[in-house]
Amino acid sequence: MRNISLPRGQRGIAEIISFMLVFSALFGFTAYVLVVQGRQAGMRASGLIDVMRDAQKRQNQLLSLTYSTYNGTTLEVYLFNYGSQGAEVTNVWVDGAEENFEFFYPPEVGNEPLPTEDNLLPSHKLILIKVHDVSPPYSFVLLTKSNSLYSWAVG
Amino acid sequence: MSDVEERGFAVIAGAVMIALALFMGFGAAVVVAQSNLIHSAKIAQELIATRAHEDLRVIHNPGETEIKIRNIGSTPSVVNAILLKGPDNSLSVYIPDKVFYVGILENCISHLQSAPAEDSTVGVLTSFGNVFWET
Repeated sequence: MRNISLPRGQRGIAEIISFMLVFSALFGFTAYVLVVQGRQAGMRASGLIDVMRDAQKRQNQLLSLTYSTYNGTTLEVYLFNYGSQGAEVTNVWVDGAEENFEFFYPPEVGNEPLPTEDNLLPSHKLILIKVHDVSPPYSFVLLTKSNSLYSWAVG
Repeated sequence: MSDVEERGFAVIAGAVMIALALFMGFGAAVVVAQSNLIHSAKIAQELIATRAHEDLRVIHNPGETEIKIRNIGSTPSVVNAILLKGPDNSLSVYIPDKVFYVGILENCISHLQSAPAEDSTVGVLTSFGNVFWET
């Protein structure tokens, strides 16, 4: 077997080049793993934090059915939010059928109810929800923007 | 170890440190969010439990503006509004200028602006969302 030996100066250069190659491969791999894992961990963490924030929001929305009345065509439901977080209502079902609804400030003595600007149940406020053209109801279900579902027997 | 190798290790060690700091940051954010969630869950449970202990007796004589409220529950109450239910089951609300507090076994007197109709029923709405109608 022939013993190939490079001159001293060339050997040094070859060692440096091979080290640089190994080093860049190792560094590239390490950086790739850290970036990918870091990004995934970040996404998981932010996803988890979002889920917990939504749950916290839901826990602070505490709705109470104060009063309900049905006059033959229109169902009126008075809700009071005793939580610290306002709840935005997105959907309403009466007896299982999704219905259109209107939000009002409850009528003060001798006055008509005034419509609200949005479908919000603010903290510590009484709000009237009217659902028109429904048959005699037995259940009232609402869904909030933060995915809380509430159900009451009414009528 | 040569200078080049030392520099290489230093770069990798720096990258690992940055990654660790990022992971710890994410972990801390998750722990803080979880702690907030637990705290709000506890408060919500306390509110729901306290709500069940509210009990007010509302006394109103027909034709009078005066409403007597006695707290017979085991928790203080804050009255947010006075409700008037008409004979046709319609509801009107009277919101006092300021909410009033009724301590345990204490009496409180509130006045309406005008006497409600004879056949209407008076109730009070508390800050826990409970309604107590006159007896």
